[in-house]
Amino acid sequence: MAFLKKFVLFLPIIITIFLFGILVSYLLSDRDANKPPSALLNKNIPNFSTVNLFDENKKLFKKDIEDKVTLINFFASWCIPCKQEHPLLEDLQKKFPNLIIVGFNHKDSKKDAIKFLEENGNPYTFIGIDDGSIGLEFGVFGLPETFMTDKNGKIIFKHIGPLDKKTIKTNILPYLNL
Amino acid sequence: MFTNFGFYTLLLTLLVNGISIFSNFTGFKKIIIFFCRLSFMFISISFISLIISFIISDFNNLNVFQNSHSSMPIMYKIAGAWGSHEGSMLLWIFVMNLYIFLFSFNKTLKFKIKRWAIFFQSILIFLFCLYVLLTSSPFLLNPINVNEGLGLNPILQDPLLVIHPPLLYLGYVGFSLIMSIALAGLITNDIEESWIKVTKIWSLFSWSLLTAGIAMGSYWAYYELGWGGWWFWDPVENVSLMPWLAGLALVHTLSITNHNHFLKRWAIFLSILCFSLSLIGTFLVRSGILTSVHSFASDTTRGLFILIIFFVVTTFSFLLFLVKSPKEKNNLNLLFINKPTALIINNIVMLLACFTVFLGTIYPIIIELSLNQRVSIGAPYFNKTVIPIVLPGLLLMSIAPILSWESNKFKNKLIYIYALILLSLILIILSFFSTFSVFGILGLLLATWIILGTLFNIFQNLRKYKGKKYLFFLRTNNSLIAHFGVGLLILGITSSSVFQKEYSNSIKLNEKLNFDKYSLQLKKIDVVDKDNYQGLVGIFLLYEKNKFVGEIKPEKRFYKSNSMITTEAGIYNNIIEDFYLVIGDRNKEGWNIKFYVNPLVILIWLGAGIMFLSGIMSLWRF
Amino acid sequence: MSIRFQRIFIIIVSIILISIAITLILYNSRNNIIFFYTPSELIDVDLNIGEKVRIGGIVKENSINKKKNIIKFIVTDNKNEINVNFEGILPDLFREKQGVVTEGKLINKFTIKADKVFAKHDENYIPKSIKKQLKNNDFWQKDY
Repeated sequence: MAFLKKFVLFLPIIITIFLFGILVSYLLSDRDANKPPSALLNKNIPNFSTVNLFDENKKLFKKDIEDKVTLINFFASWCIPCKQEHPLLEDLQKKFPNLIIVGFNHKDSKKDAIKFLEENGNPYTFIGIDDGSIGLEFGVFGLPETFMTDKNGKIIFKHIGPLDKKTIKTNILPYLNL
Repeated sequence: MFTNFGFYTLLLTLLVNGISIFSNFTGFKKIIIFFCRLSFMFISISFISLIISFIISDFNNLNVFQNSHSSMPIMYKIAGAWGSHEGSMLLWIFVMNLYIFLFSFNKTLKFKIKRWAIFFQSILIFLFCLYVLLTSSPFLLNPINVNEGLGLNPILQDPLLVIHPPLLYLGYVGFSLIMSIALAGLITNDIEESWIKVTKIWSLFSWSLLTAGIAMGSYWAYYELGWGGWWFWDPVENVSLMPWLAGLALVHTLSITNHNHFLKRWAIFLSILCFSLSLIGTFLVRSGILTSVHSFASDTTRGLFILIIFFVVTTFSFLLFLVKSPKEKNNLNLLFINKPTALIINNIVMLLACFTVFLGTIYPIIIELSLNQRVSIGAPYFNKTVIPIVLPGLLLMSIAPILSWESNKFKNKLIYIYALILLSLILIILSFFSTFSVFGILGLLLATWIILGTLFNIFQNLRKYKGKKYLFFLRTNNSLIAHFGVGLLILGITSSSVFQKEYSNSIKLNEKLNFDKYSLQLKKIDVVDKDNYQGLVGIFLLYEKNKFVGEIKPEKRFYKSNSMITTEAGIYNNIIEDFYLVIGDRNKEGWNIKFYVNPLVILIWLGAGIMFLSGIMSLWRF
Repeated sequence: MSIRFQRIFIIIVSIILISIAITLILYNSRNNIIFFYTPSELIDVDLNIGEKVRIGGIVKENSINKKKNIIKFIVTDNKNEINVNFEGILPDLFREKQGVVTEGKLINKFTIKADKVFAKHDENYIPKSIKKQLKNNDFWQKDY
């Protein structure tokens, strides 16, 4: 009886610790119930071909980036959050001039896109025009969205929404030992 | 400029609370009261700076940029200050500080207890200041130059949601003070009458405000989400319900505590539990680990930080409770059926309900961790579990007023028994003429019994007062009045959920559609232009048996600043029923509509309002 | 009756209450969980017809078919597809090529009859199909 009484008194603390354990392990296991399941993570880059925004004769295919670490960024001039992440991409490009950053100008008019880049700078190695079909292949949910691919042509990281310093530091920089 | 101002005053709040914690161990103990008021001054300046930044649309502030737009009406600009995660956490600190500031003027408590209460509250404020400064500061500067903001989430642009968060926080965060007072009582080992009285006042106050906050939130969900219901067992709702249930147990316990040592210990336990539930709830919602209709930005660091605050605060409090709880012998006068027994069972029922809600809320997490399967737990679980668990508590509540303190006898029991038999007969006969449902009959029976019982008691007490001092009468009978409110609430819940009618169809312009005895005619579709949105309003005429009843105007709004569409349900209320109409997409056959008839739904908010008012009224007793 | 007996009686009542509650919790949590799958997972797991499930994915382009108030669409994860039938009003953010979560009963291996449709939307980015309307200021047509 005395033992039982002690146990009951300790119960709240035991429950608290137990709960803390469960929640910490859940939190650190890096799941996110809010994000839709990504069908592409650790999969190959989907097939695509695109035309350069500035020069219609230049083209880019899947095979061109398959063997290089590449950052793929979907953007548009009508997307305000894209404007927010733009300086970070420029920073990245300045720090790692060898990094290939492919921009897909998603469902945008050519004129607006060029104006957007003139105003905000151009961090991209290559800007392809995307009429919407490439975004569909990549499973883009909304703009902006960023993908990272490795040397084997696999998608190793995907970020929905504008990039921030922390995401770049924890998820992008580690892959950039160029 | 205000951004920096706000940032530095928040930093000063952190500093002052640090010193305040330290000063508790020095020679000048009286100075802690000065620091507590100083801290309130700083946090107020900080909070006001944020509001001003929003009012003047200072888009150099990142938080303002992300949550405001110059075209928004001033009311929503102000609401934007607590519309985001960062701003609402600042509001959280402000409320904690407001409570301790008001508490510092208390004259009945011994200085020793007061000092320790301020000390514990300072620790909480300190931890949350640290949290805000390190992980979610609303005073960050915008890295890009803009002259327009992204706009506040449109579903938050609503008059009710301007006051909902402050009200909810006054309740939800108010429990922090109750915990601090409880810990102070424990550490000084000096729990006497004045302690009970002070805890009673503050817990009644916070609990009443929480009631109002939850009711308001559910009313908002009712007309804004357009799903015909008013409670969805969404994590955000559950999280505010848990401390409410624990608070309910606390408020009831305190009403009989007086000289009972066992109950004192129990009251302290509940005080700690209430705020622990507030903390864990905040964690569940803010860390983004649960899917919810109201989304807040999710971030692992933020989640981890709150989780650690929860862990440290809760474990420390329970440990203190374990070591220092009063050890006197139990002298509780428990009998078969008297007031103390009824209250104890009420407490057990409330905590079980609370536990059920909690388990249902975190169940998906446990399953995903153990089975690696994503699951969700739906409303049926909560309905099928919580309702049967609360039923015995409600049954007891209905007879509580006639129970005595010392003996098993109760007054006027025959009247009650006859009334119950009569009511059940009427209801069973009635149910043959309409839809039959066990929960429906049970709910209606219980509700009418409670309403009649409390009214009977109120009138009996009223006879004794014979016309003088009505206000005094209201104050001393507040528990009966609150229970009357609960009766209305149950009536509203039962009839609006069991007897709700739901129709869906599509309608063309000028077409008239029949739904049982009602018919709807789409008269016109209007487009209205407002500063912050463009609305599409359908004007429908409602007929009952071909007799014109009224106009219903459901709306869809397109918010320009963030390109979002929201739904505003159109509601026509004739006191007895709510006619609830939502307009959907347009297709070849016309407009999709969803039409609900919700009987007596208004009683839910009326009942909650009465509960809130009776709680606030009772404060004048002290 | 002695006080002692009455006290034991109350303790027994409380224990009964608690055990009823625990039984209810266990029983109901077993029967009311809804599993959450992507279309590919749903096809893999092979469930019974009539079981309640949640499906998360993207609304396939050009797959929305509205007839009266019955809406049919396809949810895809870019590999497999599930047909969804739904009666009611779609959420405001429901759009082609957008994330969607639907909840309902399985009526055959590849089709569910949904009673709930949720569209998820992150405050930080703009759904792209809306952008056309952004150009001119009028979102709704003015000539109904």
